[in-house]
Amino acid sequence: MFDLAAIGTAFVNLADPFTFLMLVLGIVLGLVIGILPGLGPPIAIALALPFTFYMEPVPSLVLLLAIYNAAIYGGSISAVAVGIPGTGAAIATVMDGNAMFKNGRGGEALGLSLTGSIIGGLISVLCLTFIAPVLATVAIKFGPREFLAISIFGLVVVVRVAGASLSKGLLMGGLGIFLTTWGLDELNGAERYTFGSYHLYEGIPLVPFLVGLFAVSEVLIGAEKALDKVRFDQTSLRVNLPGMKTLSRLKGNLMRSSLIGTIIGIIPGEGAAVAAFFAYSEEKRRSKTPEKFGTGIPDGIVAPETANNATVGGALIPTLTLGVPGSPAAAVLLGAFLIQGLAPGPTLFDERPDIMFSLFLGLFLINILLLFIGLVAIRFAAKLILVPMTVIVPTVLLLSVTGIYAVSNSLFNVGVLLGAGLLGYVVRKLGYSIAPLSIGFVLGHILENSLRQSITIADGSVAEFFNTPIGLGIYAALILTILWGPISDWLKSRNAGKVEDA
Amino acid sequence: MNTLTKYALAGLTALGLGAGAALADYPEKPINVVVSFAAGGNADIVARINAETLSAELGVPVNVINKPGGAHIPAVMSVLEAPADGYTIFNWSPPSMMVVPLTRKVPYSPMDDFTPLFAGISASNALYVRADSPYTTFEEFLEGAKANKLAMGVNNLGAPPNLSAVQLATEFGLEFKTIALKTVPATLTGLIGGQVDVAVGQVASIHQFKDEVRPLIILDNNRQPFFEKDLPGIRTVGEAVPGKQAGVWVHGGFAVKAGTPDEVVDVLLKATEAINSEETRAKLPASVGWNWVHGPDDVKALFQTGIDLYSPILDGLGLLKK
Repeated sequence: MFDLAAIGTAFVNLADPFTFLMLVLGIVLGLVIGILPGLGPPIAIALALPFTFYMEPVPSLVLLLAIYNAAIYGGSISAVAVGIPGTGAAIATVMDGNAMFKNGRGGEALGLSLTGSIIGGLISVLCLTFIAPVLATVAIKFGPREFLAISIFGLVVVVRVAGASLSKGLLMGGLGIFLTTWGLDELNGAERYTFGSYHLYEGIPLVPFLVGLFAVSEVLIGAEKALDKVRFDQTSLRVNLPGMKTLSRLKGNLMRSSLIGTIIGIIPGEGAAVAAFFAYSEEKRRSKTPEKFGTGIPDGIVAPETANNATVGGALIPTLTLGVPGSPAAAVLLGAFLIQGLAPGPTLFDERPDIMFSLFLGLFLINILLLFIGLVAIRFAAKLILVPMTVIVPTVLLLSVTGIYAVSNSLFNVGVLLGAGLLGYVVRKLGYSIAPLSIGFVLGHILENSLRQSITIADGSVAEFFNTPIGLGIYAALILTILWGPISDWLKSRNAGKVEDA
Repeated sequence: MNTLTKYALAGLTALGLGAGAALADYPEKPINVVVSFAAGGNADIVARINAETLSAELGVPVNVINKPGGAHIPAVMSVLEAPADGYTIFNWSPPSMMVVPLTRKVPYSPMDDFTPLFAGISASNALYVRADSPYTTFEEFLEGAKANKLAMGVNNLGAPPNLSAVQLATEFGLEFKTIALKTVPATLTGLIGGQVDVAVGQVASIHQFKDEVRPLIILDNNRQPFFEKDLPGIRTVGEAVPGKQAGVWVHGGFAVKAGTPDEVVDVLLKATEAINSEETRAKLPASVGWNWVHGPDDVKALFQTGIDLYSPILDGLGLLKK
């Protein structure tokens, strides 16, 4: 598999000035698009796709991969500095990242998220390079019954960690799922909550809804405090990359979150946002001080940021080895391969090892350069706290509205944006959290489709419905996560009792 | 032409030197092509390649505008709400021109409200099994499908692959558990992953999944020129079992709003000829089939064949709009 001549060609390919230029350009473009609320990686790649029609395969794919990586990272800059996730992947980063920023440690928060992203990206590329084919064969076994198990798992786990109260979290998660039932029933064409409008035939559009829920509600809440003057220490503006000491304290977190991101990235579907939440909840569960999550601690930033960038390498594993995209962005990327006359799949490794190694090396290089270009970007982002709310509120609102309109050319979607913003504002004012609402909305479609498809596959047999080893494993893990808290409490109290007895 | 003259001319036009002058000069400003799919898919890529060719022919920018969602209806209506002046072109496709108007109440008529220019992108469906499936021929598959109720993967209920599967079931007296997996690539992925036993994909899907799937039969009766390129040696249903019916209607191209002046339509027809050139077609992704039909009357006749083919199948599914 490791053909030295091909690796040599890959180095030569990447040393080409044009390819290098595309790489840098891709990072800058991806960062900008990632920072803007509503414009995520799939759109960023789709926008650049027409320009690659006339390029050679290596520069064109390097350009798109650089955009993909940088866009996922870019979302976290606005999440930390303004409390608005630039992409869905950065939703989980808002909790601790923005809290730390508001605590006057903005430079540190931005440095942590950049470092986490780079490390997650690098580890997932390592996985992609060395164990891709093995992982891909497992991932492709994911069918409706397995998706059902993983979406139930995701919902329960996220609802448990995202809000302070379990019942409030469940209520919000349920509301999110309910909203995904709007639109045409995909199996029998029945109209559900369309209110006679064809705009609702395909349901409430995901991106305007999520941007509204987070960005618009955030600016409404920000607008209330427009007159408050933020007091902070000027030194907090200095961007701090975490030192070796911090990194070695976080190394378990970094490794676990990278693996979670890579594995969830492999499974076809909405990867990055889910992976970030999983990593966040896993670290919160393991933590000795879970109550500190959400107040602005390094673990709460590093976990989601490492995981969401690790999904890039993960999503590329099935894309390159099987021709099956692991994420919406990877699906657009697959289109770019086909345009170049390359059919991703097991044979591509044999036919064009030079291109494969150019991609692997390119991804390493992208992550390393992202560190430097990202440092420049966050230097500006850290200063955002100096900008008064009276400027930020209208600017973010304007960017959200134009962003949503630019992507869909639809005023209806702008309406959804504003409606979701009001909903998010009311929900937050009532003391509920919007994170479980958003995760319910992201997972609702997968949940409904996989449930109904599983029922069709089972054809009336309960045994057949649960005839899924992977699914049963996920259900078992779910039961363990729910029961682990009480069990460990009980063990602790028993041990404590023993000590007293002695 | 110096800047002053340009402004003077622009001023004259603005003053209303009339539709006549504007018509003679068509096109004199950028043209928009409305695509009812999101950016990045095959339909969008082909529309962009075609828009670029048109732009080179006409000498004005031709912009692609994506309006996805709403069962394609918002995109169609945005074209019909614009003036019939040739500056708004619709990139039509099977859902917007065929399946949606046949199954739902829509505020437009594909036959009456559009002047189609051409049909280019095309596809035929094929029946696939996994490469390691026990069914190596169509005949073995028929035997297996009669003995067991197989799980059949299609992209969406009511979409052409589903309609092909329904037609296959009716013609040969079979019964399937139908699983809709959203997109054609996802359907074939589901097949490879073992979620379904058999799947309907497009003839050209083979390029993406070469070694993992085995084509059994082409679900069509009329042999198209691209069959041999994509699936060499694979028979059509009509060739395998004479007398059995199989058909598919997947076409796409450009259209303008009905009532667009003839002069404008003629300019567009002349310019769109370049879309069928060898040079433009070489730019298309390998997974795109091509079946060229040019001119409003011929394309409308093509629409009619689709209506005749799909109405009875949709009716059998209980989906046909009454």
